[in-house]
Amino acid sequence: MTLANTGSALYARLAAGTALTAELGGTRVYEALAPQGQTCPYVVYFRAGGGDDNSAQRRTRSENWVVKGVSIDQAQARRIDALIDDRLHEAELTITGWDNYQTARRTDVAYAEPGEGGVVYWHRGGTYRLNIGAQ
Amino acid sequence: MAKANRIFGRDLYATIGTHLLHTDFTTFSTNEDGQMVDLSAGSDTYSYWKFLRESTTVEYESYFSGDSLGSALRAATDPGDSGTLTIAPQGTAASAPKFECTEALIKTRRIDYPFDNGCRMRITFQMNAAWDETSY
Repeated sequence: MTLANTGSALYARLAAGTALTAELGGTRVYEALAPQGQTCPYVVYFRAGGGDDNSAQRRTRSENWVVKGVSIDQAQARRIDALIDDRLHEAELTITGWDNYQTARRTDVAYAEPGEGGVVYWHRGGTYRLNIGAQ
Repeated sequence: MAKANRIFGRDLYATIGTHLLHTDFTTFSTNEDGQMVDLSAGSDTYSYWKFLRESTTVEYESYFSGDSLGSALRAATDPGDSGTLTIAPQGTAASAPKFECTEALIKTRRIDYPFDNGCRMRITFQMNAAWDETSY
């Protein structure tokens, strides 16, 4: 058994969302960091905690991932958040070697980041908990 | 104490009949109760007891699996069903301790369906024969 490649599974799930990629203007979905100078809007996601449950002989993990949209338009950031939610909340991700028995939104992420020249980057998204078990 | 000398649930092996119990278990508890008779007289300062017999129950909790193994286990553990219950806390290596009863009755079964977590099944086994300790 190899450790779960949850990041790739999240990317696949988000990139396959046609409404989401249409709102983004392309497959602008990035793990951990967007490319420097990346034009808004885009989605960035990263691991924000969790790990092995160590509660049974079958290995299970609970992983928390922040998935958020970034836009200079607050309303668009909210729309992206809703489209991310459509793709992830109660979805079943395909992760090689693992069963994803629950994906659920846990907390909201919402803040504004000041940029150069008075630009404001609006971050809207959520923390999603993925419960997975080794097959 | 050396780590190797501490018994962990991760090594446990358990079966009821031909069904594995350890795959997704979270807790096993064995309870060996001595049934006693009160021999005290009304004028006695202290109470006096006589041991009659032992009655053993085993409580088991696991995640409730929806696959074929889980379904087969569920079908075999209706209250009133029985089978040979084996618990080996340190696995099945040579000389590892083995607890066994040739007729364990399913006394109670409870399945919890929480909205935000995996479902769990709890079973209480009532021993209907000796609870023996041997070894592999």
